[in-house]
Amino acid sequence: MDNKQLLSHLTQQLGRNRTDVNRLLDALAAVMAERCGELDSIAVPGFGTFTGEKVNECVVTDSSTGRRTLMPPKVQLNFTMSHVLKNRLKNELNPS
Amino acid sequence: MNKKLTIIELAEQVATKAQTTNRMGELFLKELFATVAQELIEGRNVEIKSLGSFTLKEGGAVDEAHIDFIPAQAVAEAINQPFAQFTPLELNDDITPEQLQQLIEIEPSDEDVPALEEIPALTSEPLETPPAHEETSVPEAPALDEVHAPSIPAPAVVSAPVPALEPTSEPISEAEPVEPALSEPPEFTEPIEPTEETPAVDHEAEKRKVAKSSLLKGIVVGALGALLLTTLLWILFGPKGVITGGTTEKEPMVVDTVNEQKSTSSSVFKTDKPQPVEPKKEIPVIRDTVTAKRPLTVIARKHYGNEFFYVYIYEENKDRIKDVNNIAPGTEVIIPLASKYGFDPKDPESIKQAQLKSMELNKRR
Repeated sequence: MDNKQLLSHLTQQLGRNRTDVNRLLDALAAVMAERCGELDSIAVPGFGTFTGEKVNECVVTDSSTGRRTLMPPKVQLNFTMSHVLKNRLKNELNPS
Repeated sequence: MNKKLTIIELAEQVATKAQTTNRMGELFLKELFATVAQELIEGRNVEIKSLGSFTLKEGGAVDEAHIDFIPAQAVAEAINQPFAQFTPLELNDDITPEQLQQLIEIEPSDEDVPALEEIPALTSEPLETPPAHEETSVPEAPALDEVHAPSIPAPAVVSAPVPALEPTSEPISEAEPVEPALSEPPEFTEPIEPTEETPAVDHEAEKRKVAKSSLLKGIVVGALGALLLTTLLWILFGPKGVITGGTTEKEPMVVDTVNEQKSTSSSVFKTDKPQPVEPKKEIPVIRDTVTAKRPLTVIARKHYGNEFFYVYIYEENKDRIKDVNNIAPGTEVIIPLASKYGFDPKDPESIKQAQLKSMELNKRR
């Protein structure tokens, strides 16, 4: 499902126009960036948890050339799916 | 930090940002994540432009499927905004792992540092080089959040000290010229002392510069002093000189010059005296504005206590008022002082006179 299809689906389900849904999506992205940037986590029941995780600076060595690069610190946005979703996926993929 | 946000809190924040109701925010989130979950269960990936993409990945075993979430570029940049100033830095190849190991063995203090490769290298170098520069690289080792700023100079340290490993004497020779450069500012303030020293050629050139600048400073200060002195002299004795110059023209009358000087000096004092008196003469001008509800009579009553004194206001403002019975609203009038027209607002005689004047004025009209 691409962005366009998702938008039209949400527009139908929520009874709102595209602009409103787009604004909500942008707001969600902004809140997620803000909260995860502060290393908070966002738990969505039945779906999973978004977590901001800090990765410290480290040296990465290229095995082929031997070059070493000092990588700066960064914050990663990780997603861990919930058990409910995991079970649903498991059941769907392996019905037996 | 490390706070867990529930869906309700998230919905509130989203609603606030999107300027909609909390209910709408909650509905939107539930619908969005339900849709995404359903799509993933059905084996389809979901791509949300502003948020990121959810990809279903299947591992070796069928039941080990997991979801990869790749945040959108904008989201990733927004999260990493605090680290935007950092860029990956390629490390110098001249330091071999053996050399690094040797350094670690020489300096036991480095063994406390975690087992990252470059951290011992960073910590070892500030010990070799003068301690003024890279003390900040040491706090890099602990994984605290606030250590990012000091970590900027650290890459510079990595590349700089590489030549310092092989020739151990070089850093000392390099460090020496730094010291005179640092001690220059005091030399600038005391230009005499540096001439006695015997440093390198650069020092002499710098001393010459300092001497030149001090010479220029001296000239400028001298010129300014002379200018100041002349202006002071002119202020103190200038006017008298002009007066005495006037008297010298009358030199033949030798006896009278003394009297003349006295008279001129007294005239000078006379001219000086009125100056402080002038501010006393400044009488505050009282003004008022005629409106439809405030004709001259009302204004007169306000300022003098009796409406008949409007005739004096009219007298004062004749040039502005053409018809005393028909003054345009908004006309500004000057309220004269009672002493100017010689009347006393409390005196019944003055009131009578004002009445008479008023009658005369009306007759004229």
